[in-house]
Amino acid sequence: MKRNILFVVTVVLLICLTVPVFANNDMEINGVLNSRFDLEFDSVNIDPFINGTLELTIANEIASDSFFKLEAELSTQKEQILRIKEAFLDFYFKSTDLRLGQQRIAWGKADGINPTDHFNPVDYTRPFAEENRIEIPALRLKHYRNDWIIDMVWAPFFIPSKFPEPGSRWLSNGGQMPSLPSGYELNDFKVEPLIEPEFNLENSEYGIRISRWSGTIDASMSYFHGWQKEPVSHINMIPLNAGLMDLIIEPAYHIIDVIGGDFSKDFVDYVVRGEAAYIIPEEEHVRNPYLSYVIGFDTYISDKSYINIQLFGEKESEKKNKLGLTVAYQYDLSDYSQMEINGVYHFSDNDFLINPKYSREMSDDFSFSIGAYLFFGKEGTELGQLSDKDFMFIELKKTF
Amino acid sequence: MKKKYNYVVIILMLFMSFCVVNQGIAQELTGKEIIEHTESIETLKDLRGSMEMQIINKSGKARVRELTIIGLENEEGIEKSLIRFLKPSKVKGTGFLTISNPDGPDESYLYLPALGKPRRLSSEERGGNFMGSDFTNEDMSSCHEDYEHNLLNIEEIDDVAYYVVESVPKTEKMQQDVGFARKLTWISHDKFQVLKMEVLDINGKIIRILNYDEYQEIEKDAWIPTRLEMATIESGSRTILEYKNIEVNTGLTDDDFSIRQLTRPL
Repeated sequence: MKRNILFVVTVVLLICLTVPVFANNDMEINGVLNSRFDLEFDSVNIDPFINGTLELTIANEIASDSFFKLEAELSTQKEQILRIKEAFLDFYFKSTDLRLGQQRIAWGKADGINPTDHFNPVDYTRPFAEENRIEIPALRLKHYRNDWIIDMVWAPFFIPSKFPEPGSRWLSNGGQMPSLPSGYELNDFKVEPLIEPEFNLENSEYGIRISRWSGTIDASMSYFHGWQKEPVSHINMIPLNAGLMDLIIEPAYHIIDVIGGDFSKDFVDYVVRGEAAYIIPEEEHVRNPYLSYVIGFDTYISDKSYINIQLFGEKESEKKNKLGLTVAYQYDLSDYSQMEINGVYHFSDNDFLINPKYSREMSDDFSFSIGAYLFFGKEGTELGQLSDKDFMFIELKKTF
Repeated sequence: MKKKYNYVVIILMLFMSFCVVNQGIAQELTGKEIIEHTESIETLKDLRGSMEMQIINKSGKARVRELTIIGLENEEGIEKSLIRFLKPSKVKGTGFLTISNPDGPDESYLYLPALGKPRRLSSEERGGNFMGSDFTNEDMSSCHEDYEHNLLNIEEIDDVAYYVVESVPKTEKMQQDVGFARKLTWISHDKFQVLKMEVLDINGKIIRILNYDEYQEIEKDAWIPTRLEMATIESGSRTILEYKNIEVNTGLTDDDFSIRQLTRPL
């Protein structure tokens, strides 16, 4: 409730401050109208999904030392029809920038997988969208000194990741029922309601990132204190008489501390990027501290072709290490058409995803693309569980 | 020969197409001296302006890009450029920051608003044209040291005398890299203004023609072409670059070419 009130206050403040700009004839509204048709080619069930979105962006200088942006999205997706993506005010001082409002805080230098990036929750209702992070209300202060940037963020509200609703296309089958100790039979099974952390100062999130951009190497160190945006389920087994047992699932959100770093360096023809974070759950029974990392490079193989390869993984004591690979290859068929193939492979589970795509710009403001997502692997693996959800898509995009 | 990023081209085009009036320069100039003279203006420290690019295909359909440009050569000889796209709307806010270090590796950064963070790029890129236009790196950003320049003759066009200078890549490999055998440049005798450039293949066939037009005096006796039109003969396409509001020596500093400026929203 308090979050909603504060959000409304922020929007009102934004409107009040930007009224003079609305009165200005220079005001420009940009937008993207996106229409997408997905067709699942499961052997039994052929279902089309049609989704349209309209993004509108109003952004302008209020004065020479301030700026505002308001970006909203209207969608035919039933989970969320109207969404405010970004709504912030910028104030520029001599060597410091202040951003106040709903925003995306993108930390990390790797592509697509960023172990140091924890402020914005994930929208799992659109798992394969170009950008599926949810913007959050935050106060961000960036201080610039020579090649150095000190980036400080404070996010007062907890906003969880968004999961598909029952009946949704991307709802997973859920985890398997935990097995009971031998000699016991299930008496009762209950899932406790998930409670979000209260709004108070103690529950707010904060982080700092110190980075240096220089001729030889770009590097940064970061620290994040906040919430893991996905709940973790605790299993409570309560033995009863006569070999019976109650099973209670208690999902809950947990605090994590993240110490991370990243770098990028160019070696004339190619750029190497790396990023790693040591993630420490505050409650040790949730999970052991673990290391998450990405290392990769990208280069132009020829005038028309570009490749990006990344190795990623997680290392946790007493657990099997996870290791995976992402490959993105792009080939320019002409100045206005492109073919690309993206892939993800998990070595540990032997499951993978292949995503071929062809796109063409019909004009400066209209583009068309066609592609597919193909999933392979055993049931129960991250990508294998989607093997009956292979789909192709056609997307039309109009910008204005 | 090193190839700079494509987006450096448009800054370099301005820096390189400056010309100063022939004030008592000896008449017997070599081809190299004439080319060098068109590129020299020692008082130029920085530059800012905007640019409109029209890419017109053979059927006359045009695509338009608008961008702002700033450039600086600081006291240490480091060249910096920052380009921000204004139109079309799908690329609005996209920026390129390039820092060319004379003694070290170049730095290049791309900023895409949708990504929300700057991204380092490799300091070399293999060929290609600039944003789908008829301009290539080789046409405009090539260093005159990479060519042998010969003064072929002096031609009179509309009562103005022009040097006709032939520039030939120094090595066969470079000739393969640049994709042409030689180029001819018409440079006015009095003001050292470039009138046009023809790019020819190994058989002497014209591949592209670049016309320079609408010269503007940006400092006393220093001129800059504010309209350039490049035509590709085979495809029938052409690209028109129009520079607007060009200002020089405006007091830009290194701080104007930073990650902070690259990522500032438009």
